[in-house]
Amino acid sequence: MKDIYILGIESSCDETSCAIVKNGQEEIATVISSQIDIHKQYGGVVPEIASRHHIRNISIVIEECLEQAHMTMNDIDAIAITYGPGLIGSLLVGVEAAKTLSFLYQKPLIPVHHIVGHIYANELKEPMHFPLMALIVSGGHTELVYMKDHYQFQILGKTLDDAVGECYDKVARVIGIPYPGGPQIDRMAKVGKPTYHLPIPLNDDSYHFSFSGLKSAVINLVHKETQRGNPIQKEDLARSFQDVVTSVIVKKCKQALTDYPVNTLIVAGGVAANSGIRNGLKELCQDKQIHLSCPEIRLCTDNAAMIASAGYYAWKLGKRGDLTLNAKSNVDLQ
Amino acid sequence: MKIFYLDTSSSYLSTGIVENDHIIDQVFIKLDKDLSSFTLPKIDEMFRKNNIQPNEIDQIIVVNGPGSFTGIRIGVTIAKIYACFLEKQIKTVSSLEAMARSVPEDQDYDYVLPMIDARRGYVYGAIYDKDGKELKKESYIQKEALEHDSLLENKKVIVITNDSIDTKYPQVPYDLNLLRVVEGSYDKPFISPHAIDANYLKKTEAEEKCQNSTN
Repeated sequence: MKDIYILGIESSCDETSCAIVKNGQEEIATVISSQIDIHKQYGGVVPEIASRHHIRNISIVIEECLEQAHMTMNDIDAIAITYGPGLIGSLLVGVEAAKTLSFLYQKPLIPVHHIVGHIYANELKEPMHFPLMALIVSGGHTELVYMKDHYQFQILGKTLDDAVGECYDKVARVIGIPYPGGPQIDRMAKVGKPTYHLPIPLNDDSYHFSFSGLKSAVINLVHKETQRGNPIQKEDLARSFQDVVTSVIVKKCKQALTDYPVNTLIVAGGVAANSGIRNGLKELCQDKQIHLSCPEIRLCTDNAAMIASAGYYAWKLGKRGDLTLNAKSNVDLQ
Repeated sequence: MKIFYLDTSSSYLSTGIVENDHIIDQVFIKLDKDLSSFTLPKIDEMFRKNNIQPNEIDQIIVVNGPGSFTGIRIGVTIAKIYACFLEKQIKTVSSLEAMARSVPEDQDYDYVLPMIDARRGYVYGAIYDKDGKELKKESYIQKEALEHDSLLENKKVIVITNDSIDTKYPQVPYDLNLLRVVEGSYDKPFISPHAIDANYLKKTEAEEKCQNSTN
């Protein structure tokens, strides 16, 4: 069978990325231009600034990717593009670039949902075995998805308010850690003790998540302690917070894995790099005797390799976009 | 020599193909929120209708602003990817200069003020003479400040705009004169496709706030 090369483009937030993936599983080249240092000074991603940087980076990133792969556009079978969800101005740059390449080279265009991309980041590490459960945890998403086969998504639960990564960044800000604070909280939690009491959010039998109450609880706790003149033990607060987040994520996953027997739990998204959550899920999967699959850390955050991988399976299923494809800030998993 | 022109800096798609001072085809269509969906399909349609392959184009002229931020990014992305991957020469032209060069030839005036509404009493504007020479550099400026610029004293002035802006001067609507705009770009330099950027004329609010707080 002929090898299929998909060129993926991702620009949904503050990373401009292009990748080439062979047969959905073999990463040939990935280029990621991150704007994280630019947005740090604003305490978070500023959408208009992100869009302005994407447009400067987009052609360089695509060209570099083709160079690294020693390929030209003529070697590419189809172009996969993140069309949503994400920041609309950022998404648009990638979508227009992908559509232009499709127009210039008469190559098929494959629209890819950003979350589907995160799930398929695992395919670059090991083939997915169905049925499986996928937990997506990132700065913009927290979802539990059951998959019977490729591109069959059943959303069991999602966050009712803040995404888990968003909650990490906000808590980090409250305790004076610069953006992006998630990884730093993870490092601090490793040396802290769970001395602060925080409520377990949405501690029910549903598969849904809620993190805004937990964020408020941390803010209130910091205020109260400050008013009382008690200095915050940052490492201990980080540990207490991370333990609560981990426990609720593990609890919801445990429930889902009990109700939907699967052989594999996939964890994807930027927060999948969090050691506390990883360890909690590792223990859960050992108990349940199922396989835990996490992408490589560098492919947990936004990248185009995952889009190209997801694009390959969409391509095999005959999913195609055309030049009228538009970016969508909100779109359901499909 | 075939030149591909593209302007998506307003709610309109304005595009065309010019060959040796002759317009092969030109499309001007109001797309508003559909600019992202339909710009490339309309370009594709224009190329097909005229039986021109993208590779037959020798040069690209893209309007890189000022105007709608999203609109500018659509055109600039298409143009820079086109130029970069098919190795075409590319240059940019300001939306205000394109407007200034499009004043109908029967108009009697000394200077023209192209204006784009930038809201809250501000415009993107500049002052050009009849030959398309920029006398006052384009800027994000209070409409009244531009109208009262000392350069305009004792001059016959007209405003060219497609926005509803009340001004003290007679106005003409903007109807692109593609050949004059292309002609005006002859002495402009080519730019590396990677270096092509949008010309917003305005910092983002976040950058302004950050700048104010450090001053």
